[in-house]
Amino acid sequence: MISSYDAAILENQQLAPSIWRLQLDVAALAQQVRPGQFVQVRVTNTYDPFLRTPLSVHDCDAKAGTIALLYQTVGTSTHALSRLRPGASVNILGPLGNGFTLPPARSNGNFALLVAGGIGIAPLLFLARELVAKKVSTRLLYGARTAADLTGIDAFEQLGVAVACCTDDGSQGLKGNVVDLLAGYLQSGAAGDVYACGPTPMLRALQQLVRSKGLAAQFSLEAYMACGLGACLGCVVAVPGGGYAHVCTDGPVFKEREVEL
Amino acid sequence: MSTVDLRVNIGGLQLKNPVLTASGTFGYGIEFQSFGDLNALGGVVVKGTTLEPRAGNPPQRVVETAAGMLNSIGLENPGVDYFLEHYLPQLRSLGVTTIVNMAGNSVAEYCELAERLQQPGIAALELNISCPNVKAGGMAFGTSEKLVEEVVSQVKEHSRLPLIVKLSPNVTDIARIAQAAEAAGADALSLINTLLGMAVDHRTRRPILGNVVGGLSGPAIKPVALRMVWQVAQAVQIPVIGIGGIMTAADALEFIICGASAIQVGAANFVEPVAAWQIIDGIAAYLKENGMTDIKQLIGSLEI
Repeated sequence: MISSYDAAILENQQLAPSIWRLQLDVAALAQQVRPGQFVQVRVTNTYDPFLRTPLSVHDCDAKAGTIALLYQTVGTSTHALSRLRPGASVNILGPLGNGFTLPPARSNGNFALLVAGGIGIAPLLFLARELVAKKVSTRLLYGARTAADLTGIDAFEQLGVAVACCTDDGSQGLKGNVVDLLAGYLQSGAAGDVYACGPTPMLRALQQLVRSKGLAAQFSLEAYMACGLGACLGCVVAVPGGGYAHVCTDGPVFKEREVEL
Repeated sequence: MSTVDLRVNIGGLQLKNPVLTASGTFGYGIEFQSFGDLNALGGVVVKGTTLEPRAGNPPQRVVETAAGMLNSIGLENPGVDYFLEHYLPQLRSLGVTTIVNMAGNSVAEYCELAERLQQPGIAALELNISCPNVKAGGMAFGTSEKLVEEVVSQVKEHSRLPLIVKLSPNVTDIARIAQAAEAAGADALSLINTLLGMAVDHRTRRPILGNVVGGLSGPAIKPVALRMVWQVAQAVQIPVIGIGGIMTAADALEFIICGASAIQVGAANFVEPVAAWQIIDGIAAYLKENGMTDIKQLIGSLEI
């Protein structure tokens, strides 16, 4: 059930020039949240920033009762969030959204291909953890602008996930974007279910690629939103045949066929 | 809290307390069920409803601004038939005081909507007159006394439910528009709707909203709303419902002191989903602290 929680900050750590990882003590949420779901964070009690900040759950430890959020400092809210220290707390609403659809455990030959662009890595660690727990062979393809922005690769490797990287400037891994990286990987005849998160242009290119290869894909989308509860109707994505779906309640995870990017 | 009487009568609409949730900020109430008892609210004003379903505007539809936000949702809603079949039975079984906000682009559309909404479980209608009148070249109904009189008097002929007319602040003299609505038979007025605004990205030199312009709401508009409620409350005899940047009980009390008989909580619902319930408790606590037994003692008590 969606609830409001005051969550104590356990850790708020800078991982890259503009990427931070926030660890929260919030047992009741940690015990029910699923990969791909998100929370709405109220960073301050002032009116500026006014709205909550939607952040996907990056990692979750149900036993320890903690969740981690990965965020990029892009606006007033996220900059203010980066200034909070352990001991402080934030109010969060969640769990919100649908989350990824996971395959049944030990489904034969079902490989998972996680595809991340930039901060799109955020929801994929928690997903990888659950996939690995289900004995699904999982590979991460991860692209960023430059080497310094590739964050948290160790955490994937510790789970036994094979990681391949690329950067726009070639400072680490293949020089190019993550869709090219995936296309190269698929040339060897490999296949798998795609789980992706990243900027819209990346997802649009990825949509073309998975269609041409006949692969199933789920996209976690980002959208500007006010409430996260399905009330403001601010966070829409176009759907085939006209009209819109709501990223907060119909998503944020969509099968690639369900959206017009 | 049993010692204070929070009941108010809004033009024939009996409310258990003066706190309503504003149209477009609280869905159909159902979305907020996990945060509180909907039946404890004065009432829920549901999402603006049109005759036909509407897909709404292209994204981006919302943007945060200083102490507020802009929206250009474009009246996305599933249409009146879906509302009556799907949402109204749920609201009725929960016992929620349900007020339906109506939007249309012609007088005939408003009248047909009003007729369709004469249903058990609907306590009142709220007429959104900030919509463009297609027959008047797209001019918003709410900006002309003549158009306001026409639409309000016509809708009244097609409805026996209390009719609340929701006023647009994007006018030269809101008191005159209020008087036109009253003369045409409005049972109550609610104000203000959003203030027309705009946001631009200086880096891309493009508007941020897909619709270019949108409605400003949140604490940023409260002083404007308070002034307009005060002016309108003095200009008309019918009850006034205050709306505009109400985040706390203190905000709500200020509107009531300026002459509002009830208030609507809007953008606050997006930030703090329990805001409306907290405001009810806060109003009751204030009355007790000030030795009052009835909310009506406070309405319009501004001393100048």
